[in-house]
Amino acid sequence: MAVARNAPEPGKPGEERYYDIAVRQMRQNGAPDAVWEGTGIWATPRGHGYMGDYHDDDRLVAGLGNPAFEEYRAELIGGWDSPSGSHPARHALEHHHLSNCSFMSQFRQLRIIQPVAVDRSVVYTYSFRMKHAPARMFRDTVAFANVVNGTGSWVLTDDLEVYERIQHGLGAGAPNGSTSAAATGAMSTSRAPRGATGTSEVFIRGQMRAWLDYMTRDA
Amino acid sequence: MPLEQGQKDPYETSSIIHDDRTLLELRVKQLRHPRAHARQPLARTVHQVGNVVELGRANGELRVGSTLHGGRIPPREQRLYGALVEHRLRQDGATFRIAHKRVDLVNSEGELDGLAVLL
Repeated sequence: MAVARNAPEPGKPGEERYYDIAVRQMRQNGAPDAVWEGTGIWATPRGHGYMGDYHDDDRLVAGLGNPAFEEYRAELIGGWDSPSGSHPARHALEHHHLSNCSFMSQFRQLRIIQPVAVDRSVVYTYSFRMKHAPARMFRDTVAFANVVNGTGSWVLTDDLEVYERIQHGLGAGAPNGSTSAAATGAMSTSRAPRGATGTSEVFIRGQMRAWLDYMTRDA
Repeated sequence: MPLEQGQKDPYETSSIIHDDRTLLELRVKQLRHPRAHARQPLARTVHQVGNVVELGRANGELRVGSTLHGGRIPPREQRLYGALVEHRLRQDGATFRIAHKRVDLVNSEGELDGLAVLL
């Protein structure tokens, strides 16, 4: 992030350069506390949790004013101007996060996380070339995949190294335990309670509650 | 560094690494940055270059091919890489400057660990 903050400023819409997507992505990872605190996080009764997206169109600048994106949006939505945003095509342009998959519509990418063991998961990443979309859109898709998913990715190699070191430390057996704690804040009483902030540990407590329920149900 | 063998276009196909000059500079700065904790300690590397051959000249550039064997020691296991390399060189007085470098790993389509160093 520190390096990206000192990088050349990304070009204006229509004047982008290849490195812009990389610089933007790295800068976004340095979202201020207010963004994280304002991001929704929910827990379901059976132990799943899910988080809202910290991206928005203001932060993903390419989504607003980018000529290729606007051309494609016009192709899909045409003159649709419903305040409810219920046009089916509009959903293709928004971000949707489910518990084990995320759709990065800005760059036409779907990620699915498949847990394969208690200590490992497989992340499948699919990049799409959209029908009738400007060629520039797919070039951005490839650039994004290089930056975020590539074996030599700036972002991924950092993340994986951190995960590996944590795993290595925990696997060494030396620590007595690890602590991960954050306030839950006020929680709603709905079936999918939401933490008061984006850093709430409501999902951890949800997992423990579900585990306790499974372990004691027949006791 | 293409992902697929025989990659024709780095803008239409994913790469293991595809940096322009700006990204290359940022990558080096990132490696050296004191707060890039995941990059520390810096990996130790060794490069052995062989079979250097001139492939031709075009547009004021000299194309040079070579083979590369690279090794690195990250914090844990050792990694070895083999690659075919092509440089495009531009004459600068009595020497040459690298205008473009392409590294085709022999196992580019195989399973690779994160590649956080430049080969």
